[in-house]
Amino acid sequence: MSNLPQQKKGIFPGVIHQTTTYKPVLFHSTIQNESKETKEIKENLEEKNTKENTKEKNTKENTKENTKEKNTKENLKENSKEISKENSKTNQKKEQKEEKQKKISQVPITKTEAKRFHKFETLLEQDICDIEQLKKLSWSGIPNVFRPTVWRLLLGYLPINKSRRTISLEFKRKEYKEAVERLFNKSIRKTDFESKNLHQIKIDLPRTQPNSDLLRQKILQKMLKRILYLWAIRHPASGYVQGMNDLTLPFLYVFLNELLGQDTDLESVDAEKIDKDELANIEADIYWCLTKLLDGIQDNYTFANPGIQRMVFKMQGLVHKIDSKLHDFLRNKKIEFLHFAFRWMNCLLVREFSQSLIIRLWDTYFSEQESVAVFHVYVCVAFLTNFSKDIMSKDENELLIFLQHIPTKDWNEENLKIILAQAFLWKSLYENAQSHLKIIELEDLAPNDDAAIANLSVIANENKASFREIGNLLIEQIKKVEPNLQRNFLHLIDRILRDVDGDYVKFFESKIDLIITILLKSDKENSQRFMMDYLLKWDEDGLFPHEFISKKMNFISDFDIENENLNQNQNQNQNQNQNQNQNQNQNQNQNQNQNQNQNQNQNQNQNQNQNQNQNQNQKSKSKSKSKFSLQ
Amino acid sequence: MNEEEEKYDLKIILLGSSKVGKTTLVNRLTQGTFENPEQTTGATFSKKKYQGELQEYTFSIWDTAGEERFDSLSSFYCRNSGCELILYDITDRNSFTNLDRFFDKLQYTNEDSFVILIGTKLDLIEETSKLRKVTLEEGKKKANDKNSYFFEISSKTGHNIQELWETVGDLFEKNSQKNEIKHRQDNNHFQINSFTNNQKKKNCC
Repeated sequence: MSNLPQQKKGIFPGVIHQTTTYKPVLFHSTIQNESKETKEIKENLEEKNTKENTKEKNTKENTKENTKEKNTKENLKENSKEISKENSKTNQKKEQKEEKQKKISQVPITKTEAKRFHKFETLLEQDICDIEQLKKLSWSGIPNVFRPTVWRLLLGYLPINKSRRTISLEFKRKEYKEAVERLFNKSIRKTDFESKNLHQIKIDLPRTQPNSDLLRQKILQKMLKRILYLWAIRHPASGYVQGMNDLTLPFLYVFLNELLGQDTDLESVDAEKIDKDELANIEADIYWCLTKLLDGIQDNYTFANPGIQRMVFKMQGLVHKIDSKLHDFLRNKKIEFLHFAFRWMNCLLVREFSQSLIIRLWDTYFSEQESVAVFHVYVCVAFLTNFSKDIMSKDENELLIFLQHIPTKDWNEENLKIILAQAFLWKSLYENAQSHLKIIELEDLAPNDDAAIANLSVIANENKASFREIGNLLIEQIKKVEPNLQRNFLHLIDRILRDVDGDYVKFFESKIDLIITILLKSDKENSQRFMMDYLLKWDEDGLFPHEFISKKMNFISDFDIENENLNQNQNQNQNQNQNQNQNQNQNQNQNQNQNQNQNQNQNQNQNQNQNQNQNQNQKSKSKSKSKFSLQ
Repeated sequence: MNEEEEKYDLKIILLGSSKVGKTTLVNRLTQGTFENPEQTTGATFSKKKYQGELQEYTFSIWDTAGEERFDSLSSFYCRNSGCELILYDITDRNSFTNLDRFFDKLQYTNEDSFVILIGTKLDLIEETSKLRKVTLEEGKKKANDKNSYFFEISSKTGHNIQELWETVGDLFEKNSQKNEIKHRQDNNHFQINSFTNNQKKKNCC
């Protein structure tokens, strides 16, 4: 299926026009003095020379139009000169003079914009950049002209100490080039891991944003290939994973625009004509920035994608709190969050928005105090709930397709800002209450399916310290739910035992008798077989000592309900359901919680009054199903 | 919970290594187009109507990501699936030797779902037969071993696409008719996804 259409033309389409309409959009700042500003910033980086900030204001549209083309060309030429290693002071001075002589018009901006612009300027000129201030300022968007430098600073690629920036940048770029040379040394044979990664990268790049002409150029594909391959080799825990190719693109666009001028339409650029040294620098910069970005979210890409699972699960929990109607609607329609949100997490929404909006979104992401992963979840929540009404108006035929292709074609920065503001609000409300939220999640979300189980397992893993609390909570839950769900819990425990070591294993070792008792009491015939299966598996995989397992096996086979002290008689009315096929149960029994604990039920079902009716319905339905499956 | 859970008559899932042409096949089936798509992340959902003998059905199609890293996810998507299309690229030997990875996923699908093994990119070898890395016989044999149906197709030229789709529909109808009888006996409304048909599967190509 095709994804959301990407903007074909230009990276910042509409920017120029909007700036002339006095729109108070901070992001759209002065386009025309960008070339000059870029230069200035770069010069700042290159050497410590102080220089005056010239700001000319000229509101004449004509001048703007005339100088645009000229600027771009000159900018390209000058920039190439600037960054090149042979760059000499005299050269720069000369250019500075030229710069002053050039009559660069400045697009009219609002006072707020001008103020912000000036703040950026000041911050970037500091000997030691106040990174906290920079983050605060950048959170609401970075003017195009400052973005490349600010991104490098925010991501920690560029040192905050201004005097060290040039050297550091040179060093890092050199390091990258050498690493790539070593990596692509043909005399060294590739390992399986290496050739597998390279193969995947090679087949992904030709189909990255298939509508983009820019990305069809072989020279750029080769460049991205080197970046991704080096990253993969240096991060063997995950290697290259699909989606990383998408994450390189915003960097590519931002750095290309820095080199070629902010108003260059990248789609019409012939990359072969770009100075090779400049392109090599861009390549190194993309690599390092990508590395910094992925550092914070690497567990999205390791085995079984725990980072993504965790984010999706957290998102679901938050939607449950923030927009419970939507949450219940999706649940009733049997829509799993993973079905649509996986891609949101895996590609950081790159596939859901146009490039210009993604770049704006990343301004905020890089300005966040914590890892991108934290705020991103709130943005996804805000994004989803923003479409709450639309989603709930869809019939089931359209629903999933809508969710997988949320229409953002007409979105502009204002829409995004609303999402960001909401996300910010919710983050401040809920992020600190996370531990609380997690417990609620455990209680609210019975493990209906594999996804929930996987997520619970992730939470268990995260909260190793509170294993007793979580373990006991799980056992409490087992007591409360009906037999087929109890077996799902066993599946969960199995997952935890495999994913988490140490304390959990010991804990469940001590509790296994209790668990067996609960299970056999509620449904002896089926649970006996079921429990034995697990014990055999655990024995095979060496999770518990052999003697321990055989003891437990005896315990199960000798188990006699009559001899046990029956505290609960919860199974009386459920025996009909006992023979249900396990597979079917997993899908059918969402929300089913037929036990005497009404409070628990009320937590799970939105409508308390209908609670009992609902349960009755569910019961009769599953009854009929079980009959069916038996035939 | 209610009827909604059975909103699609058949769940079809596409499995196979990266770049064998899963999304391309879906696009061919649902839109009749051939283009170079973006790589799939997670899984993409789409649907297609099938005109049966007596009534129209709606099939849901789940197009999964082929990359190994997303393997755990595809097991998740396999749940409740009634038809699995397992694809390999006849010009890519690896995509064929890797097939068992996907046949292993069948444990997560409906017990009585049917499987169709599909060799893709037939158009490529029509020009240069050298490109073929997996013979027709090998494909058939694999399908036979795995008790599944078999096709070689081209999403580009549309070769065998119609035949494939009709086979899916026929098999579905055969299965569902048997189910319907049981359902009526059960005095239950029509349901799918639960084929009790365990008939021996045969090859067709």
